[in-house]
Amino acid sequence: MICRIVETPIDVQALAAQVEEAGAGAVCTFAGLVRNHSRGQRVTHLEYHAYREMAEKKLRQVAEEIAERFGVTRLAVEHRVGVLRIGEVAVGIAAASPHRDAAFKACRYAIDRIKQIVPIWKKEFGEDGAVWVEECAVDAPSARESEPPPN
Amino acid sequence: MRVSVKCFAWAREVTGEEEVSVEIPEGGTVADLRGRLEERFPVFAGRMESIAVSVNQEFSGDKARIRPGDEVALIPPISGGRRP
Repeated sequence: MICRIVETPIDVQALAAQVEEAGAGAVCTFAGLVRNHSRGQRVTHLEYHAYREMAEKKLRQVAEEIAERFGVTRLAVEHRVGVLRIGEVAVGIAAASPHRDAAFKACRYAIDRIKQIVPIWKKEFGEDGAVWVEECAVDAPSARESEPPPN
Repeated sequence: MRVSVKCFAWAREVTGEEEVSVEIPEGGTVADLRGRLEERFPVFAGRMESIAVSVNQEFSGDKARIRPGDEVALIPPISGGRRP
């Protein structure tokens, strides 16, 4: 199990190679990329910031939830911080399992849960300046509660 | 009791500091901390509902107690929490 915050480019194929094993009939990967637009505005680059110690702890929690829910223990997750250009990988996930269903589900769960509980923030830079991205305002439970439960 | 509070992202821009020191009563709670922060940084007042507080790297509700030496942080909304 690999759960890391990194400053350098993420290689999703390298993550896949680290979770592969002889008993794995399926490896599923996910790459979250920096997009060139957001809410109708052109984006020039992004800055990701993390509360590193807590972020790595919460990534490990996500991995434990995945092991419990889907029995997937061959999991690698990396999230990058710092300045990222368009098309660069911000988050990379690889999950291996004996059969494909669990690997697909593990990847999907990982990215959704990361966006819920891992303290990483993104600042978008565009033609009109910079803005902290806050997309969870609509659905999130009040932040006065404790941790949001999995969906 | 003085509590050192880590600030990230938008919250760091509000306080202008990576860490702020806040005085709360002995045996105080996350709610007490929020109150003191709202007094000191009025711009937080209308936004507190969206800011989570972590104690020792766990999301902590308003009733959670803060003890001397605890690691406390303000967690503004994290990016991309929109449901699929």
